[in-house]
Amino acid sequence: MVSFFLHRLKLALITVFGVTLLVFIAARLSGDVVYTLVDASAGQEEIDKMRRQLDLDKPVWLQYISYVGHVARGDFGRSIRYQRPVVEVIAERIPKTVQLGLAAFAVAVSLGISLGILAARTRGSLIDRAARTLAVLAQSMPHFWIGIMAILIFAVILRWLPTSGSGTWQHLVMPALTLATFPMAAIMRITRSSMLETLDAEYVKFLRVKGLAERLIVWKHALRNALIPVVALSGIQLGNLLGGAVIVETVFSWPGLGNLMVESIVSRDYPVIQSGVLMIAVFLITLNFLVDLVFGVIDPRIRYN
Amino acid sequence: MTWRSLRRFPWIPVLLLAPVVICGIAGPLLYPHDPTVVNLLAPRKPPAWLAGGDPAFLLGTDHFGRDLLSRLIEGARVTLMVAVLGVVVAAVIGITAGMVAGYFGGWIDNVVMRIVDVKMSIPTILLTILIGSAFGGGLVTIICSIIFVFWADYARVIRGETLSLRERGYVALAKVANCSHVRILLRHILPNLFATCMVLFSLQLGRALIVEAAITFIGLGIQPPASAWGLLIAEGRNYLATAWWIPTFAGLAITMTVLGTNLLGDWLRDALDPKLRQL
Repeated sequence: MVSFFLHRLKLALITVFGVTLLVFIAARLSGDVVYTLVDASAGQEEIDKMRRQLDLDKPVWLQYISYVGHVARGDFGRSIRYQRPVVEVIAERIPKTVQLGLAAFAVAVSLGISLGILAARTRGSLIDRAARTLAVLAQSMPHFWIGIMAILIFAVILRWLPTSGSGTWQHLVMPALTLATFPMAAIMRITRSSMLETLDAEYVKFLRVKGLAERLIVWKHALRNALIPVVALSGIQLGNLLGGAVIVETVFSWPGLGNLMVESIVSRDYPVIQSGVLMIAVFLITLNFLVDLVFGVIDPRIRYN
Repeated sequence: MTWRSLRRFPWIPVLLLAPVVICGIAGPLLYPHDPTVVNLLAPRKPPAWLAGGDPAFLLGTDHFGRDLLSRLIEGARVTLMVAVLGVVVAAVIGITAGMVAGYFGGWIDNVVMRIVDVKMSIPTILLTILIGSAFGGGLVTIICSIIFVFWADYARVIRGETLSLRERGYVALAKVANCSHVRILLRHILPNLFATCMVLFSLQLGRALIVEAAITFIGLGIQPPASAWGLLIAEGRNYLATAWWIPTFAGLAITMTVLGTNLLGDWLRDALDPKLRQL
């Protein structure tokens, strides 16, 4: 177990290193940061001074080390647009994204799993075919279009819900459902196929022969085993959810992290974009590392693989 | 053609994709109007079958009075070109990297897989925003993003397949017969990856179309006055109350195409190799 833990930790740390390198390269390619920090009237002397302060006169590999040093101490630089530390600008937006993400995740998991079980139990029926068609359709539509169509129908035509913004629960309904569509379809598909496989297993056949009620077989015995791939997929879907949030927050003007990222493209606020990507990546790497560990504990086969 | 093979023919994906492909190839011959000509006398005309519609503009006009149908046809060209080009280059890079990593193993394998890990740890849209922040918006960003996002999927899957193909008897015999590594990879391993590559290509094309539309939608991709489906949705979003047909038809075009490629991918998978279900 210890060697499994250390191996996974090593992989996670290498990935974090890779991400910092990638973000550093993107930051250098996006232009000379000095000109965004000094006044337009600044003389050459002032520019050189700033350059020295930021270690930009050093060789590139030293610049990278200095960058990692700053990041490790929580210093992500200043936002060009807000003229405040990037960490503050990003931290303010996190609660809104967490709220939206959790709501969407809850919808996706609960609806996805129940529809998946329903489809598996009624295999080949009209319900099964409808659920599968819906899943394929949901995975073929871009998030932002679903969002815009939802605004058109529920806000513009029916006037049931507000078009955009945040504050009340009504504001949360459309963004959360829009964000949930894709992961819901993915979870439904995998639950269905995993459930079908499990219901075909020898021990389930034995339970049937034993005369156990079908309801008990499905919910008590099969579901537990069928859920293993579903849980693994849900972890991956959480990452997709964060990516989808960028688009969905933009469509609904939801004041979260994703919206901040897109605004920052328009205002060329590169430090915010790059630090945001870095923080989200590190968060996801940590999350996946923890999921791996949990799976290593639950299923010893993974440890020795 | 027997009844059996007719029944197995992927009618639905082909019917969904055929109009898009025809528009993409023969675009300029099919425009009812020039998609770039502005007609300020006829802005936001509804589709022909609605009150106030003009039969000359079948799907209506946009906010500059440009014919929506012509813009959709022009959009098919740009959209398909970007997605196909991006996924093809990604496939070439990913297949090469995956084969080399799986076949040689060791440090090469480690390096390739760690790069794949880095890519996997950043959500697709954020990765494209990062690339956009480095290179600015436009066609180059979009194609680079698609290559960067999709090569890793190929590399991961192809590496896994190569790992098992490497252990086959005929590869060992080829080594005994003193074949070079390049020859083994190209003549003995690559042909066996064909099914996987085709299925992946089809499924990724759909995903690439969605990524492309999303990048364009947030303003980093194809820029106006060009026509792309994502751009039409972004523009139409501002006229939702007065011209619902602009984003609606553009989105339907994307959905139809992505659905077509997804279904085609499913069909290819079942037809070529049902073992590939996990892709």
